[in-house]
Amino acid sequence: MRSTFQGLETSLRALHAQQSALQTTGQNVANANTAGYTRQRANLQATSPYPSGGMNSPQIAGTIGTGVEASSIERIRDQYLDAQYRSGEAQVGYADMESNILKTVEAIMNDQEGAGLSGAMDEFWSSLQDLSINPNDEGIKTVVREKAVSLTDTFHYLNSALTTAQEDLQAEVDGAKDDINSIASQIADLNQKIGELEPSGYLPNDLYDQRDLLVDKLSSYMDIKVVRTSSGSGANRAAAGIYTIKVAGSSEELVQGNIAKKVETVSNGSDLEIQINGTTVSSTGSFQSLIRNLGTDQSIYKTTIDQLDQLALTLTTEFNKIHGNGYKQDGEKGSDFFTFSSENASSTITLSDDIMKSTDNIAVGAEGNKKSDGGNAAKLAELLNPNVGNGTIRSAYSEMIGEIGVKVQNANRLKENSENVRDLLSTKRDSVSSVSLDEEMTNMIKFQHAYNAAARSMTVMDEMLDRIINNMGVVGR
Amino acid sequence: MRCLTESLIIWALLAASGGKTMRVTQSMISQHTLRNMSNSYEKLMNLQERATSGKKLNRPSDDPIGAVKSLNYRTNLNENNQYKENFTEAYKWLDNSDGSLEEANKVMQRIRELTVSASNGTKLEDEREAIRLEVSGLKEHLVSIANKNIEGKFLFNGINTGQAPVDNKNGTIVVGASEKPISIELSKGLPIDISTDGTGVFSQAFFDNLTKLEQSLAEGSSGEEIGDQLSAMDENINSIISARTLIGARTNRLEIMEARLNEQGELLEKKLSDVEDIDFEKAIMDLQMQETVQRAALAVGAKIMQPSLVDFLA
Repeated sequence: MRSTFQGLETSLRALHAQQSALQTTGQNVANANTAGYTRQRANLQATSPYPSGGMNSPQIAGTIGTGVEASSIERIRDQYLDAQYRSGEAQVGYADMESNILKTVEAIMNDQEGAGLSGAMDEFWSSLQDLSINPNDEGIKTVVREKAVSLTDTFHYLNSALTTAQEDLQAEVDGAKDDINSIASQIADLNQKIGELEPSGYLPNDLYDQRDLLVDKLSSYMDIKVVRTSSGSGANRAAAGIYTIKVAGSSEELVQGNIAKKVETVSNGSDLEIQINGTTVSSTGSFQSLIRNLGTDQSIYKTTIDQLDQLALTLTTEFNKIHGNGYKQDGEKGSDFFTFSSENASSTITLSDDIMKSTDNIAVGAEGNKKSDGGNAAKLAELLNPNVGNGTIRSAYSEMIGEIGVKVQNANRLKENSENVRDLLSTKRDSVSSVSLDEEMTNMIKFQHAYNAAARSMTVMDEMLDRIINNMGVVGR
Repeated sequence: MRCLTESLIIWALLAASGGKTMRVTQSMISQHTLRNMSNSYEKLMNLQERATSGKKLNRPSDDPIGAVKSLNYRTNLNENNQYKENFTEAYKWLDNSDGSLEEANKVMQRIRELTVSASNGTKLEDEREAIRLEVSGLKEHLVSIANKNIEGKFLFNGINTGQAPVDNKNGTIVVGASEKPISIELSKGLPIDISTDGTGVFSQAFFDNLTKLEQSLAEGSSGEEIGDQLSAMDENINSIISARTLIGARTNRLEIMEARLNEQGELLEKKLSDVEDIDFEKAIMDLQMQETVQRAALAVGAKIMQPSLVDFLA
């Protein structure tokens, strides 16, 4: 026999279930613009019908449904897209940082208005030409000295600007490291909370969202891999589980369960390395780019400074050689014009004490003891002549500028491409997970009508009960 | 590039959804609109930078090859300008040398006339003495021409501009050793001699000839004997003329070189401008086009982002 009140219960369940669905819709609408929010769905499921199968269960025609329940409220999310997106984000992080750093170097070395090293060499060359024509002119000698000082100043400026820019990366590295470690420990905390809730069958969707957002952020710094492990047998089928986070290509975990290990930057003697728990890891991501440019041989700052050093070294060595073969006004052979340390020529290049003391120490003549011979000044100018074939100082310099230009161009292209890929993946992910207001509105109408209909069905039950309780058996009254 | 990747994304999205309609949400639309708008703004900014700076080459990465070219052109231009200045100096030397030699020529012509006059046997003692005095004075003048000094530099002593080429001690004239000529670079790797070999023109023999004439006049040699020295005077004149011819030829050469240098300069200016400067008409057209795109993007964005189903439900 069936219960008299069964229909009431069925309607009540329907009211509860539709209410849950409406509340979920409300939650989705409310969080339509929340960063990292994943749309949720109340999974409605018919409850077990009456009667259930069994030897002594009542015999009636067929089974009668007992209503509906919201079995779970689940996030709509695709883990595979997450992994793709994060690897794309790491590429973008790396390409973006490389491009930024290269742009800084390019801005420092920019010589398009003739205000850089090229302009300084041009002016120095002109002054030497003037001197070769007017070898006795004290004024021109002073101009030559001043132009030489301005050339060394340009070398110093470029060197110090590059060095400062490189040192400034230290602050960025420290900031990034702190951020990574903070994110890792937050993920560990969330793992802990999630691990406590999931075995009881809960789906802590908001904690999942928070954790995924943090992992997204982390992936911009480093290319990471997420491994999910179930938190126990009691966990819901839709549970996300505990995240173990590894850096791609390494077996060392950054986060394991509720433990977050520290990312550290360690120098291995020559190069700076990223280490987790003593293991060196290397991946893409902005952190890798920062480390690369702060403390390794591949640093664009270092290679540019090296090239500048080489340029300054060649210039000064050759210049001194020619200068030493020439003669001063008093008929003596010339001494060194520039002094420098061969280790880091571009920062140490200066005019020699002799030249600073007196411009008479400039070896202008090629003949010796001739008071008006500018032959050596002409030879010195020749050294800076831009068109004496390949391998000269000038061609080395323009090659260097061209190389930086190409590098920046490539980095920008890589950045643009990786951003396009990331945006594509982001769009795909949003297509699955983001809230559509139109959809929610439609659902709201759907659930509202179902709620109203369930109430109406309860009214019908009420009227039926009213009929048998109050109006039955009063015939002829 | 950007357009291609955009359509690539749409294509990839369609492919990914397996031909089914893709689920599109408000936040996707707003993000897309925002992304496109920011791309459009970036393009607008780049075009504006070009239009306002007048340069299409603002940093090496805009065009690495162009950047290297522009560096070289700029250096070549600087070099060109320096050579032009060097020309001024070269002309100064050549013009001054030529002027001085013209003067020396006039003096020698006068001496020749006097020699012809003295060779006339009917000349009286007094007249000869007068001629001798004049010749002597003219010789002094020639020494001063040989020792011509411009802006503190001796014109006819090669690179040894600090020292007079001819030494005149109480009438005994000693000509110094020949010096290397001054040469300056007037074109890439091409030094040109700009000083005249003074000791070649005003040589020891040159002055010895004059001294001999002077002596003949003083010793009362016969008109015939004096007449014999006419050929020596002609030699002197010839040496001056040949030096002037050389200067003339060199001046011509310099003029040709200078014209070429000017042409080269103009060519370099043009090349530099081709590499660095924008085509203004094109830049402004591009800017206007991008502005139109920007306006369209804004208008479409405003239209598409506004409504949702909420607006249409009672």
